[in-house]
Amino acid sequence: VRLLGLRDVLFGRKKLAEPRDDRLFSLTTAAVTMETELGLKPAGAAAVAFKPQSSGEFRSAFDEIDQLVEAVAQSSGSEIERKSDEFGFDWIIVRDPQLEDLVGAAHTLASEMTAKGFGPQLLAAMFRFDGGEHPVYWIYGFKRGAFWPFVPLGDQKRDNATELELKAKLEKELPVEQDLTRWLALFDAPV
Amino acid sequence: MLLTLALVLVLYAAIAIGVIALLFTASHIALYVIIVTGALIAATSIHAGGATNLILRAVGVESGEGAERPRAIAERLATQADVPVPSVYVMESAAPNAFTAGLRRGGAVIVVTDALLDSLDDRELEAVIAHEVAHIANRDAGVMTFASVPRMIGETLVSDQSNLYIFFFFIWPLGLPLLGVGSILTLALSRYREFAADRGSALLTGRPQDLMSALQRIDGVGHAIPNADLRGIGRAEALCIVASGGTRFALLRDHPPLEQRLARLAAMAREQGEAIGP
Repeated sequence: VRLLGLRDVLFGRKKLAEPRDDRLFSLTTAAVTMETELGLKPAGAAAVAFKPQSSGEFRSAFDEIDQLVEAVAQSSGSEIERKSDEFGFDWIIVRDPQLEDLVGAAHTLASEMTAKGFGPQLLAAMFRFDGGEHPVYWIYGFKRGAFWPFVPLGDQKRDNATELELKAKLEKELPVEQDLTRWLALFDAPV
Repeated sequence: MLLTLALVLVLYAAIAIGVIALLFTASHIALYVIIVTGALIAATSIHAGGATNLILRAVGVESGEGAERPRAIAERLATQADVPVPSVYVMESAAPNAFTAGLRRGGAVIVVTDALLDSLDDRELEAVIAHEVAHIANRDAGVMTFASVPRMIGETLVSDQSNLYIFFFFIWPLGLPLLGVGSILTLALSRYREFAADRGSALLTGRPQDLMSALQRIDGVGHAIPNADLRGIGRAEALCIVASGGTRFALLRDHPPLEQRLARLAAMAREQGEAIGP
């Protein structure tokens, strides 16, 4: 958790926080515990959500990023899909049976967007796991550099008990967001 | 917890020594203290049924109507915990909460608010009732009553409104330390008993996560997992970047902070996943 700098406090924040994608990879080690202790397996799908800009600068930068992600996906045999949602966010969906490839694709997209100066547009990455009563998601917030669990039950409800169990069992190996009020939902996500 | 209990006993001994000393110096004050103590102990050890009825009338509890859902859960858990089945009442209140009354295990009463029934699902409600059943199994009402007598004596002495000089010179110096030390010890003990009841609930239900889920929901403001969508909050998030909520002075809390309770339950959830023994 980063603290606000003194300058931010005195003058107010001038820009959105830069993303942190360095902790994404801890999900691959945590996946072992998820399977042995909770019987949850990667569902072979992940997605990254970001807010597109209408500027030509963003469009041309994003075309380059898109091509790179596509190339990376082809080399690892992943499928890529693109979708927009009613909140005005774009999603890049990756399908691959290997969790490492899913994490790798999300990391490539995030680091390329950051390198091109569009890091603040990144919202979250989402990884799906199956094997329980309901699908389990780990959401990675790029701003906070932390994961939080999300178990939607349908009808805009979520299973807090399972989410808290996931936190309890995985917070030793996964950077889990400690502030529960930040565990925001991503209902009807395309994965 | 043992240390706190021992300190309570030391406090009782100090009162006894003080009273004996007074008997030789100022016997009328000693008599006053003895009578007050006696009255308090008598009042708190009224027959359990009578006492709980008093409590129920004081909080305006509905009769047992509409309590089928929590009653069925309480019956099951009480059998499991091997305590007499408590009566279950539903109280009208906008605040989701639950408490236990009754000095003896038999004749104990669990009161839940209708807001609690509305806001929790069956598993969460079971976890909260299991917490209350654990209070009954641990005889917490009795223990807390015993431990709070020094504080109540202190309160009685300090709240004496007579204008006699004797009041300032003798009663206050007697009452203030009793009130201060008694309060801190009672509150510390109460926090320990809460942790113990949380643990009992987790053992009874086998699912610490259900109590964790219920606690974050009941504790509500500034703690709960949101139902809002990450995409819908927009710029408001930037304003909330600094964690909200400060903690009250820890010594003066009767319940441990939510974070500590969740952390201990999380440790139990982890232990449950581990293989037992070599």
